[in-house]
Amino acid sequence: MIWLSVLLVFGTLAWIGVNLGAESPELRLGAGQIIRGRIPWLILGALWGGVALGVASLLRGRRLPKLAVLLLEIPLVALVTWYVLVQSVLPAHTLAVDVGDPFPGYALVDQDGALHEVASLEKRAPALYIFYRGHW
Amino acid sequence: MSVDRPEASRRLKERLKSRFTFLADPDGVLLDGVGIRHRGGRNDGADIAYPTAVLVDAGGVVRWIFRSDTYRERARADEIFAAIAALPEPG
Repeated sequence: MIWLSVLLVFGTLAWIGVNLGAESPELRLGAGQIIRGRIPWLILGALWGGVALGVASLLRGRRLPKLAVLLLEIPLVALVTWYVLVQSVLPAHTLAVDVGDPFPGYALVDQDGALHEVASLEKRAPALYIFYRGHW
Repeated sequence: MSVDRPEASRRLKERLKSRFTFLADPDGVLLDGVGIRHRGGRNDGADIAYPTAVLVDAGGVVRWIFRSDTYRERARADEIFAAIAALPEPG
């Protein structure tokens, strides 16, 4: 049972890491939950399920090695849980535009230094503006 | 769109082999226009954007907005395509 615990906890963490590191547009087999939805139930369920299995295994004997495994697992799982439930939560904020409002005009340069200047309500090709946090 | 400077955006565009335009708003002028300046949101205390996506039609009117309560979440591709499909015909 302790090996199943190890597989669930470290397998889930590795799966998330591999998928995020791949910079793929879509994350596979549940890893996408990390960027989908307020609470990634599947990921948290796998991690805490793994910890629960470890605790159950600990209660059945051979306690020292199993305790060592749990002492590795629990801080990692707690850290991921804190990240998704607390650290990644943004302060409340109110947008200055809503559906049906004019999009603000702007004059900004692109990655090559070319100026893109559009006045509010000026005719243009439809456009999707995705605001990233940047700092890559 | 981000507060990154054009050189950083160019490196990222090349790394991702992206065909999108990367607009640079280092002073956050458009962030203020949309109301998505996250003051002190970067690790070094600088301002950055709240993750947001805005679809604008040919007349410059906002037709769809994605926003999130966490910085982990992003708009899904199917949500974006559905919003684009629902855009009014230009005319």
